[in-house]
Amino acid sequence: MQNNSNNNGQDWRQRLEDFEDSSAGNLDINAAWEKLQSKKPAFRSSSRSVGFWLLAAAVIGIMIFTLLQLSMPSVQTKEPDMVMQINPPFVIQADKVNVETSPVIAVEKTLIPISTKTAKPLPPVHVRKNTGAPSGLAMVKEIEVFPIIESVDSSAKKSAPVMAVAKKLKVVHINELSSASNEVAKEEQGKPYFPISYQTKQVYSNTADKKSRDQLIRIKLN
Amino acid sequence: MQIAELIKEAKHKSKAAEKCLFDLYAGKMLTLCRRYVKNAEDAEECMLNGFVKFFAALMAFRYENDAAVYSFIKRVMINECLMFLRKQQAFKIVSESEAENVGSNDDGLDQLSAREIFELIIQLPVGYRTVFNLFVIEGLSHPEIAGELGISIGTSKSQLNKARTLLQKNIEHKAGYYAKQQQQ
Repeated sequence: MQNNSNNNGQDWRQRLEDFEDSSAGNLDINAAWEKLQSKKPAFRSSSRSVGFWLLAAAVIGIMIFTLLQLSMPSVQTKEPDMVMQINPPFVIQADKVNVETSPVIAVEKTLIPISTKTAKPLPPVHVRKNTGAPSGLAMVKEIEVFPIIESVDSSAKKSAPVMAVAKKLKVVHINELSSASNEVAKEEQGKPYFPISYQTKQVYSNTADKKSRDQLIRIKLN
Repeated sequence: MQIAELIKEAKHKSKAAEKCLFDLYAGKMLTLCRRYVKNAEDAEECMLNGFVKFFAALMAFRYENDAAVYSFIKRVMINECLMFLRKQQAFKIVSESEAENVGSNDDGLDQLSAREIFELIIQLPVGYRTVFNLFVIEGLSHPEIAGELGISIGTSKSQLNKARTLLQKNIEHKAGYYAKQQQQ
């Protein structure tokens, strides 16, 4: 039965294929081709538009990159074109003011002129110094320094301004003060210091009178 | 120009080669589409859409022989027709109980011409016609048909049996008509 159906199926197929071959002339080929061409651009443009979208993506990427670069804080990597350095012979106009040393770090700038070939007048450089005030408050007085321009070859090396920084005190723990190898103790020989021994509850002093029996004064703490 | 050369040229988007291929297969494919879709305008629409997809798929197609090309383009057309019928929701078939595979008695088939067989097929309801085309003409199995149409295997079998029954009636009717004609 299955063979019969298979044979019938093949018979059907063969007959229909013959019919399809014979009925091919019924179609208006040229009109159908024109209709096909009108349908095709909708499909073909997808491949051409790939290039368009790639180009658009590249342009957008460049724009985003440029915006990011502009929005980022500007970091000066270049050295300044001109650095002013003032030699000692420069005249510093300042009032006679007692300058007191204060815990505030005083910044001193020594500037040496390095000029360009153009003879443009340079603005005065303001140097700030802490001045002592009767009230004890630190006052800042601006001192104008007028630079003298010397004709220096612009191709000369540009050096950064030299700044003198106050000496920074070394931080030492109190327990380290009693050690014999204490660098601070070595450095400050002669200066009084009072090592404390917690176990014996005694305070020693190195300022004892040499004439006494004990070279060190011991103070007992209850 | 041989089909192998036409395929090679068409891969390089040659319009002349595409036109030659279209002239070769357009008529056959239109008749094939009419077996599935019945309406002449819809069948032409499916045929043209099928050719657009065929030309687009040529890049990935590897030529082996002429029969392979014919099978490939036929497959594209059938898929296009089935997609059209799915859009029309032609396969909303209520699942039926599985029926036995009843063989058809096609004694009157020899008396009918190919055109008459074709006309009988397209007269069938869309569900019967589609399953009949896929099973009898294209040689697909019931599981494959069920997968293509989104129906159960039992539904596919029952639709085929009903198609055969209806066709048999129509063939007998036609054969009887011809017999009467001959007697007269």
